[in-house]
Amino acid sequence: MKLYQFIAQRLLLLIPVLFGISLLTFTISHLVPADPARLLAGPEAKADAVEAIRKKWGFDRPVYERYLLYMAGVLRGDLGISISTRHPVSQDLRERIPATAELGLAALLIMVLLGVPLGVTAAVKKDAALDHGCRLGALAGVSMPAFWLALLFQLFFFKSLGWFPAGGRLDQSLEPPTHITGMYVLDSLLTGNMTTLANAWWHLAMPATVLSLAGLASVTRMGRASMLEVLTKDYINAARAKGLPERAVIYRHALKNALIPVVTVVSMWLGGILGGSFVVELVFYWPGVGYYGTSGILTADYTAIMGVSLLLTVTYVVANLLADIAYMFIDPRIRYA
Amino acid sequence: MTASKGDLDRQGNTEAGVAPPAKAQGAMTVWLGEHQPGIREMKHSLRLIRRNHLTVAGLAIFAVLILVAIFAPLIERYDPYDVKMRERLRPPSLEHLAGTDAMGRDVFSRVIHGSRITLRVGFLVLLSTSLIGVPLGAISGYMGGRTDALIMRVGDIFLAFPRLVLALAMAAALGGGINNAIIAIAIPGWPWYARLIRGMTLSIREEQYIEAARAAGSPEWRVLLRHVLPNCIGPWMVQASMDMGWAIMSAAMLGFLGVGATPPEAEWGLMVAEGRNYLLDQWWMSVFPGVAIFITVLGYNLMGDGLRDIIDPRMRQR
Repeated sequence: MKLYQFIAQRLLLLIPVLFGISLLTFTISHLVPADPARLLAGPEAKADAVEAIRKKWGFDRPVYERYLLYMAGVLRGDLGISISTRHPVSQDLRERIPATAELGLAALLIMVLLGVPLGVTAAVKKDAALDHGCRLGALAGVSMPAFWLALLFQLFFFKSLGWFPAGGRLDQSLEPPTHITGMYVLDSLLTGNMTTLANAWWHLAMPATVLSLAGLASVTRMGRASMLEVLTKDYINAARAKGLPERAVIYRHALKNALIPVVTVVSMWLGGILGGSFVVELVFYWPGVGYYGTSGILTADYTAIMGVSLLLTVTYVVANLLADIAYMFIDPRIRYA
Repeated sequence: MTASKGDLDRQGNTEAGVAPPAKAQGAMTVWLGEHQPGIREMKHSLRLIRRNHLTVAGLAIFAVLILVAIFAPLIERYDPYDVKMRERLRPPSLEHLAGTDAMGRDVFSRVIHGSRITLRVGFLVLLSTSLIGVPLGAISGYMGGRTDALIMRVGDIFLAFPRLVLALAMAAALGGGINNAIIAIAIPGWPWYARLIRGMTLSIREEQYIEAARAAGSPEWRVLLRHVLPNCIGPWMVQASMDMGWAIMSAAMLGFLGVGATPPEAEWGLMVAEGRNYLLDQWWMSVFPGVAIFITVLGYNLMGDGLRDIIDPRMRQR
């Protein structure tokens, strides 16, 4: 199958899934017992003012009509008005996406750049103690609640050692860099502002580490397991038999084949990062989508919750699609199958 | 209804006039003989479990959790809900092993008491996901065709969500409370079970003993219930024990975010959240409940991981 054919087919399959996601999200947010018109009008509003809002936003229409209205809005990029901030949800999200993207990408990078080499090393130096250590470490990493780990990090690295700040994206005294991508690390790098760059990194380090830890543990373990399996294959024997140095055998022949299941784990853990961003952003005062979602949850702001879950889920679905495409680049056997 | 081999044998023995004790022994021998492969398999599994220290550790943690939950009132040194404002924010000491919280309640007693809530959450989530997922998966695999396609496509939509995000959105919509949290955690989980059981059913369906059962005239539902589902128990156990850890962690997270358990419940996630404002000076309020969550989830994960090695024969050879 050609690559573009494959992508086109996957995109087509995406349509019913996206439709289902929107339907499910809409249903969930309409389980909220509160009257949205009253919430939007505020506690002091008169009855006719509430009625006016009900009419204006179409809350008086039947449910299926409201769904169609909502979907028509979504397709235009309109996700409704947030009850707590009173801004359009899409605008709120747009302001907060860069912060979450910065944090999520950093966590993803830690997961891959640290997890894969760790896993490979553990596989190459196979021995029983390391074996058990790897297994226990991975399971412990997965079992650690992110919100608690975040608090422990604050306690240890902020209070006791004073190495890292308790939260936020930058020191109060610093101006955010010129807005290009909205990701402070990238923007300050692009504008050559080294003080801000260092400060942004310094703030990013703790939340990104906490967010990546569970995934890092899984990636390491999967990387190790899959490397061990690949190393028993005939083509590895063949590579060794023709006299290749061990480094070439490992990095050129084994690693690429071992990476396929790792890509699956990474794309699965992206869901963990997106879900984990709620608590991690809350604890580290990171003003991103997760923080917005948490405030939405606390204020029963159902348009905000709907917007956040829609955004995160679509991100997850698209990332999984990208992972499927990545397979075809890594593994020609899938491409020609 | 057909009588099992054991029944037939017992009847045969009575006709031959064998004394009652020997009859029981005879039946026992027959039962043993009949189940010999199963027993050998079980013994082999037990040996594998014993050989793997991490699995034993997981089982031990699980056992301790159950014991603590059962005997909680005996272990607790104070009433976990007793507010004593004069004793608030005491650091850990011999009197209060894990200190007291902002309302003067004994943190150690609350953590112990929380094991009951945690076990209940884990069990109810498991029960509800299985009650939805297992029948749907079995029907899907056994019937095939359009029913299968429909169930699986609906499942795909649930699976498209990051699991935690869906649970959070549902909990927020249902409006908090531990029972709503259980529903919110259970619902995103069913497609995992449906998929697992469907896969198992698909392969079991082709076995000869299924054909034999059908040829003997068993109705379809009976074949499914008596012959297909019992063979799915192993993989279900692996999934279930991994899932319990996940469920407990999610419930704690919902409690932490304020859409799970409600104050004054001694739920671990909620306790971590309540201690958060005092973290820097009275660290014990958040740290100890968190340790409890960590150890419990770790126990389930160790157990599930070990069980997978034992139940999945492909993993065994390594």
